[in-house]
Amino acid sequence: MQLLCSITHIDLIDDIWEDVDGIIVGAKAASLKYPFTLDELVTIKKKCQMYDIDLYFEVDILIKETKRTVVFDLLDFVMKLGPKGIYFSDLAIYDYALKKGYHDLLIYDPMTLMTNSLDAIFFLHKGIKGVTLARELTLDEIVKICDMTNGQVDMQIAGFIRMAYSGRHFINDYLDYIDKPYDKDKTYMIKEETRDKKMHIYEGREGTLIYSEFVLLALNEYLKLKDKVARFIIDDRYLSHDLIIDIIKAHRVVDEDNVSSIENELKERYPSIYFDTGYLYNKTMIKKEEKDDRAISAE
Amino acid sequence: MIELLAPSKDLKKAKVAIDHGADAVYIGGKSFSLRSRASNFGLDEIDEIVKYAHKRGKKVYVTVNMVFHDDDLKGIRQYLNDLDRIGVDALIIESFAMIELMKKEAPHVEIHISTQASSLNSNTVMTYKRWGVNRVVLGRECSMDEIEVIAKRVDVPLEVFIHGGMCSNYSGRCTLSNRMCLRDANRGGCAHSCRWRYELYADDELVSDKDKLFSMASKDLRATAFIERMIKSGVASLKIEGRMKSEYYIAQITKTYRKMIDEIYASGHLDEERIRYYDSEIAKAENRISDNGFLDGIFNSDKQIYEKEAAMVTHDFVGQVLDQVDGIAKVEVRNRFTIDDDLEVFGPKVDNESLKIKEMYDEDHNILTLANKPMSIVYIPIAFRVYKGDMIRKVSR
Repeated sequence: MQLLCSITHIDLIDDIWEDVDGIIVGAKAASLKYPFTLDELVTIKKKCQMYDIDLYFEVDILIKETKRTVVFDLLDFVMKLGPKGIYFSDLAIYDYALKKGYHDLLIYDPMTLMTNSLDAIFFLHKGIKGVTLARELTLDEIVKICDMTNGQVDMQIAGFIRMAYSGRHFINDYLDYIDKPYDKDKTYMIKEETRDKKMHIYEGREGTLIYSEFVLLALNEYLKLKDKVARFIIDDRYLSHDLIIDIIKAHRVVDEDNVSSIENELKERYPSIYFDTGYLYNKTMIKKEEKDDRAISAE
Repeated sequence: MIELLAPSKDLKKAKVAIDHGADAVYIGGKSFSLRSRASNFGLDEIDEIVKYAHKRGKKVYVTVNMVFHDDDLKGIRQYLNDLDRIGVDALIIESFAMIELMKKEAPHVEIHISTQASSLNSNTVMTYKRWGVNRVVLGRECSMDEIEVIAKRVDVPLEVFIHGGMCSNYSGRCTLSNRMCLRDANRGGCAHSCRWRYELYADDELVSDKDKLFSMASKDLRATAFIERMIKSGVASLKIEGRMKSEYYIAQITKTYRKMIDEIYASGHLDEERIRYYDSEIAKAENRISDNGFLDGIFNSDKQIYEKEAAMVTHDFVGQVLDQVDGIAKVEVRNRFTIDDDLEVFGPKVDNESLKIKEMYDEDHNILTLANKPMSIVYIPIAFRVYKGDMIRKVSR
């Protein structure tokens, strides 16, 4: 089992390298989440070599026809850096890697679509390194998929969760509509008009991402799944420098005896953060029930 | 000739779609489909619509496009066996594992990849081909320019959405409804949380307008201006969205695109005046604001809906013809109308005939000036020939 951190700040590497097995990064040219230039990727690679941790690369966007060559050129560049693995969400990358002979480095992360053992097995039989489970699975469902795949799965274990990905530019469009300026340096959040919790919303050239209102924290479940999952991912997006370091350390030192105290310490130290186990015990309904939608969520 | 593919929620609507010019209909069964909660298609109904369609040279596709969790897969093998035995023409799937299952359990049925897979490029499409897929439904985020390029680069039939609702986020890549209502958007429970109203904050400062709150709601798609290019690009199928829509909507939208496609094949070109005519036909049934979506390659606030949506329908469906004997039409009332209203009749063989009612009777021969009891029967003398199933609508605006 490896503990990886998906990072959006280079300097973070210097503070977490002792507690992670590797980091995940992406290039601004083919990402909604990662801000890094090619030069910065080289710097990151050097840091990984210096600290002896693994470098994983991620292309987190869906690829339009006109964007293919940009992404394929980027992959050619990244392969020279010797990544331990490449996370991808668009099958164009699988197609390209297959032709180039490195599809065994790929880890398929379609964000929401890896929800059952048959699909996981289907992709693993294609010779790729792994699949990342959808974030909206329950713990029982995760255990079942892990058992059926001999643990060749990745899962996000901490951080804000990506809830929606759009090809549209929601913030710009709306601000244009109400005749207000968009400031790319500001952090934007949305709040449904009848609720009290805000969700991060990020817009880039490739579209918009919406994140959960909670920070996933599941130390108990991490312990239960430790021997079943290949790679656990902690996402640093929108977490403060101190919080991400504390979350990573918590995962490194947690055991059966201290799990409650570690969790409580985190919650006490960061009282404004809404920690939650997400969907791990929250089974979503397939069909609409005879209740008001918004009332359900308020319960 | 390019295929026109229409949606259907139940047997009646499927027949309406076929009768109004669809080359194929897509339906969902009671299980394994994103619209399963609304489906009235058990295996018997699927069998009936397949026979109805095949007798007329038309096709039936069944959606098995739920994003499955392990527990949802119980019974899937038997279901695939049954659909194969019935003779459906294709299954529209999202789960790639279903490709392998179909090869074993439904070997005579074509495999179509759903728009849920958000396929946006030729490499992805060709990957599916190597896996044995027969058709790919492209993501609605493709522009017309991109569709043309993809169509040139692949040798897999492509299906493109031309009309109806649009997901604001990439199809399948949204769990807003899961979190906000515990209803799984990818398993048929979408609560359309994207269409709700939100406050927008920038660095914790409220920046949204309280009277015009932030929303992700998108206008519906209307591709009338691009049909000619789609035909010429070699796209295999043009798809109308809307398995939850009324039979009136399905009839009107299907018939309009049917006529449009036929006119393009007959004349080789549609000028802007003809496109405006077809847009006006669509407006007779459309109840959401529409736009050409991503097809023009432009993304701006004009594509979104921020305020309460205005009803856009210019013609209300008020009655359906059950029979006509000696010029007297037997009509089932659907919505209120009076003898003073301007009406119009349309159907597979009747093309927007104006109707001014001079007299109207109920079943007891009482003279009526108003029909306002839904599903009641009225008799109306109509000078021209009408047929069972023809629809009567009121020109309301």
